[in-house]
Amino acid sequence: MLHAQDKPVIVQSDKTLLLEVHAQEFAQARDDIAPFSELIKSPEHFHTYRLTPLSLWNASSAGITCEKVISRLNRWSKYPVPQSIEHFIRDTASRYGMLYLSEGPDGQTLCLNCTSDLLYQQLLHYPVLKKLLTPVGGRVFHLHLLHRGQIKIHLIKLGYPVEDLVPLSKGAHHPITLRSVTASGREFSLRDYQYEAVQAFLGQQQPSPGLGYGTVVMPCGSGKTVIGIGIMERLKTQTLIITTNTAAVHQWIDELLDKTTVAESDIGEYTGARKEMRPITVCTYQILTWRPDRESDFPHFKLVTEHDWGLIIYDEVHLLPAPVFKVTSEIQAVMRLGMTATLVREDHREDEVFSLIGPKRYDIPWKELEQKGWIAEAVCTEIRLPLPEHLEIPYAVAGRAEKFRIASENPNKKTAVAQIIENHQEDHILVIGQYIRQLKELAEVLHAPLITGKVANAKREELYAQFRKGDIHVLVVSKVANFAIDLPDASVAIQVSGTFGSRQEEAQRLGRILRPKKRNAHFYNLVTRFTSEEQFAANRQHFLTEQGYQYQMEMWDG
Amino acid sequence: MDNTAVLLETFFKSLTDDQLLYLYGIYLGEVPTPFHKKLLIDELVRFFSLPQTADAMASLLDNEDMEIITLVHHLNMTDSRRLHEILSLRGWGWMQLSRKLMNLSERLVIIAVRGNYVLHPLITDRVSLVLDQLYQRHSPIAEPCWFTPSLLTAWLFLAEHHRRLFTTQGKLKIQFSETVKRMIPDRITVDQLNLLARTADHLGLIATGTRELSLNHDRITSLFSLGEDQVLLYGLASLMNRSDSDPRKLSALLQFCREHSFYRQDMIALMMIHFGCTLEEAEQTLDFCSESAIISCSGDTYSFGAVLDMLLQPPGPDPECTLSADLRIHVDGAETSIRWFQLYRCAQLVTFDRMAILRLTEESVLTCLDEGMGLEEMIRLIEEITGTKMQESTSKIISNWVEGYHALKLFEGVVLQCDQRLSRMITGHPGLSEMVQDQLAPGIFLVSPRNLDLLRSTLTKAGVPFIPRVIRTKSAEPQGKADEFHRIEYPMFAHVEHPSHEVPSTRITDDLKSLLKHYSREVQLELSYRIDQRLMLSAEQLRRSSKRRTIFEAKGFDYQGKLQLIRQAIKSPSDILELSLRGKEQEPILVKPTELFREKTGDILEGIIIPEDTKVNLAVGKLFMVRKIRRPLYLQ
Repeated sequence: MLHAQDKPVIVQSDKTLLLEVHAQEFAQARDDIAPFSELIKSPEHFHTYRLTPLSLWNASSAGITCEKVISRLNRWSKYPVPQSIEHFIRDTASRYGMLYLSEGPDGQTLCLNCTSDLLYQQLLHYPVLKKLLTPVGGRVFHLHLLHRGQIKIHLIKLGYPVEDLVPLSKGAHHPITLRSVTASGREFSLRDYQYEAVQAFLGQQQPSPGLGYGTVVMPCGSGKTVIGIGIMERLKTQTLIITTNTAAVHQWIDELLDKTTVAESDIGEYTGARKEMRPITVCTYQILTWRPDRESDFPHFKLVTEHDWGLIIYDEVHLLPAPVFKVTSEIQAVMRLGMTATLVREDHREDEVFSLIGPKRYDIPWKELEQKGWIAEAVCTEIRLPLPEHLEIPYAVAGRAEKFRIASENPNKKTAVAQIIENHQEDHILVIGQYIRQLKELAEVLHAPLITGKVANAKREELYAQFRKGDIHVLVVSKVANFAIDLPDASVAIQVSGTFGSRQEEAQRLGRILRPKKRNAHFYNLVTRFTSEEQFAANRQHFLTEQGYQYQMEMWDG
Repeated sequence: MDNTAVLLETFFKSLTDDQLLYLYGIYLGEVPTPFHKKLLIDELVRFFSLPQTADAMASLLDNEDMEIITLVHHLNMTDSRRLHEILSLRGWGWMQLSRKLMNLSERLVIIAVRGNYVLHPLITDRVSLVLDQLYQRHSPIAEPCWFTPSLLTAWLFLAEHHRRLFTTQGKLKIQFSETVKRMIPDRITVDQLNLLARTADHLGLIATGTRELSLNHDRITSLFSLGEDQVLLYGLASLMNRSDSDPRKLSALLQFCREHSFYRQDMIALMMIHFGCTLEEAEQTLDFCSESAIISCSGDTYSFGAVLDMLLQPPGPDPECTLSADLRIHVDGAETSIRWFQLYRCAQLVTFDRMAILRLTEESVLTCLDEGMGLEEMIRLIEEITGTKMQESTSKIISNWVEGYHALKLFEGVVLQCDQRLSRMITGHPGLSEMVQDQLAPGIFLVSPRNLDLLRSTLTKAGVPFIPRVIRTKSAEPQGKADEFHRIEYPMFAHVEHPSHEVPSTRITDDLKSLLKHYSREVQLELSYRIDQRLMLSAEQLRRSSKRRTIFEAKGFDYQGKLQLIRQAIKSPSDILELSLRGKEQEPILVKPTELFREKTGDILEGIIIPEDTKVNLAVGKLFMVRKIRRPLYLQ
């Protein structure tokens, strides 16, 4: 038996669980607490998990009772578990199952069943629910199929999760098998953690109630696409994949053709350029949310709602646009998989992602995959440069936003970028920035091609292909390359400017160079000294430092 | 001359001739005439210093004697009122105690020194005087004690970094209750937080005479230099005995209580014994302590168990303290106070809980510099605490802050000194240059103190980070000396071995009574009384005392004898009467007779009951027994 002092978990009264990374029993403790808590951050010494209502309800849905939760905490906790936490766990877990959805009298109606009179009365008087729920007696309400998502969101906000016992639609059958050797000739199988993620999403057998929807959070370059494909293979159903841009659409198609036996004719591209509806269709958020004018409906929503999909995959789910939230709330009968590296939304709508797509089903610290060699080891360096003298006064008199821009476009960065590139002759280098003027200048100085939103998709893909082949050594890219672009050989990223303090942008940009490769990845962040850019940089790095990344800091003279 | 002899000699010298001769007569027999007082004292000292005398005295102690002498031993120099206050909790009456004290005084088991009693030193070595035999122990109670040095430290952190939340006395401003609860989640109530403030105040950790809450850092450093257990004792003592904090007394109480609980009355008595407080104060303190969970209360028993558990814990490993790349410092372990205290100057408290989390911020680091700590010193301190070398990136972040800090200095609000970059900015920036009255030298500017706020805001707008610094106001009143906290004798938790006391042996009494048959009836009566009173310790003493022929007692139908004794006592200021009203079954009373007069019903004795000082008229015919005794020593 472990001595209390050797136990690896500290249960704090604010519902956080601190897990000591260097403890002997770290792995066992993590496996025990992860099913009922959310990983918040994983820096080098202590990983922080948090008990949330959602995490506890997920645990309840997976059959982990509150007694089990408490006993696991007692087992691993170095200090006595605070009584308030025990109370919180019991109180929260007891709410699970008080409301459940079941099939209604017809195909368009569902039943919301209430196990408590008090709660039933409460719901009767909740103004927003009054409009959506029709009381039919016996502590049962009827609701329209389309309101299923909305009701769930409202009730979860009230503190009552709805156990959705209405079977999810299986969708139209479509066979799909994983190859053991990819079309490109490499051996292929799911990695351990990818297999675990698939299991976490679907369960051991076919998805039971409470499974089949949710989010998988994995670092960039760790093979999220493969997890999506693994789930598709298990479900063997028609699938809609929604991703961020056309290049990502093509990458998905390429991956499906490379790793599965699906025929090319069964895979459709639904983008601005092509509108193909096939058993497996890949589209962009942009096309879904396109409409002729602000008053019109979204004509392409029918792609989502009017087809018998068995699975919808939301790639880079943290970017889910607001209109897609709405349509997603209407398709709660379909299995939904969200995937992202950074479930950090600058608009703080993470909760809605959880409610509509589903809770976080799998998460793994970045550093753990790095240690196992599944993603590249990254060296992050922040280089601080002075502002040229001639810009000091313009900077001082400028407004807040303008200050940031002056600092971001610091001309000294051009010299610094050139110097870094010279130091990495053997590497494939991405120069990433925010401001087109700055990027143009850099492309000119570096004699490197530039990809921005204005570059046609075909041209972009051509340049990406050349970069992958090694024909291009340096590529200057704007934020269009922030997400979902697979450039396996890129090993150096130089960030010259970014979107203020966006944490997910920094992480996603690092993600561009995390595909495992023979050499270490280097991520450079250029920051102007004694300007507001320093503070924004610190904010941007927040997510990554919480994942255990350490920024080396260098002061350059410019 | 040993201590026992010195004490006895001092005592005998303090007696009047009457009292001295009375004692001499009891223990050593007839007083030689003419007598030499010094020689009599020497003889008495010798007699009461003999081991066999002490053995006999000890063997004649009964349970009531033991109760009193145990208390006298623990209270050290106590008077009869104090003893009564404590023994009344065990059901003792005032008269009962007075008679017992008188008897013990005459037996010299307790010795009165300037109105206070001490124990005969040779008795101390011969009987067990542990309080255990008086106060019944119950099973331990495992209740957590909310007060810990760590909590006190947490409060100091809050007070240091969030002084706006508190009044100048350290009391939490009610509107910030929620804010504080977020910082100290679920660990402590607002009331307890305010009690911590009071503790800090009593311990002199809060500076006085300031406009805002300000801490006395010298005192804090002094306190925390003592270590966890010592801080705990100081803090608890301050909380428990609020007006007169004495951790030594608490330490003694803890030592006694160890791991058990006591009935309320017993706990109050123990507090009175150890704190030296009155009954009322002890009751109030007990209620206060049980309300604030310093003393655990379960049903009708009270305990210090949890506090003792904390003190008894063997010193654990050093607290684990780590500094992560995100500049957060995690401090694990109960004995963290000192570490935190060292840290608090350069790190900000994020959460105080089972694990405390602090964060290095630009503001906290620069505040630390304001206080005179150098960058290298700060880095060294953090490295010492974390036990690892600071990562280069972290030290560079801190260095960068410090460089910015040193780039601009404002002296006395009028002279601005800055580096080249800022100098260029000040001369080139239209808003800033307007505020400069003169340039004294490269990088040194004269500015108007009237424009200070404007200067600051313009600098901030220009992107020169202006870190609001904490201005430390020194107390207007002199601070307590930093060396005021002393190391307290740590409670010894092992049971102290004392020879155990047995029920008084009747062997000596029986042996002595068997010798009485050799004496006349009058002498027998007197000697029998003295044996019963346990004033007789040996056959030799019996033989010597038998030479006295004075009659002291009259009872039954000896009406004239009673009148005779009453008249003698009225005449002699040093004599009083012991009167039994209705036979032996009733407790006799002590009376100083003042007058004897006759009424129709018979002779009436007028007197004052001792020690109650109440006037009384008694019919002589109703007195069963009258005994004249020398005014007892304790009534001097």
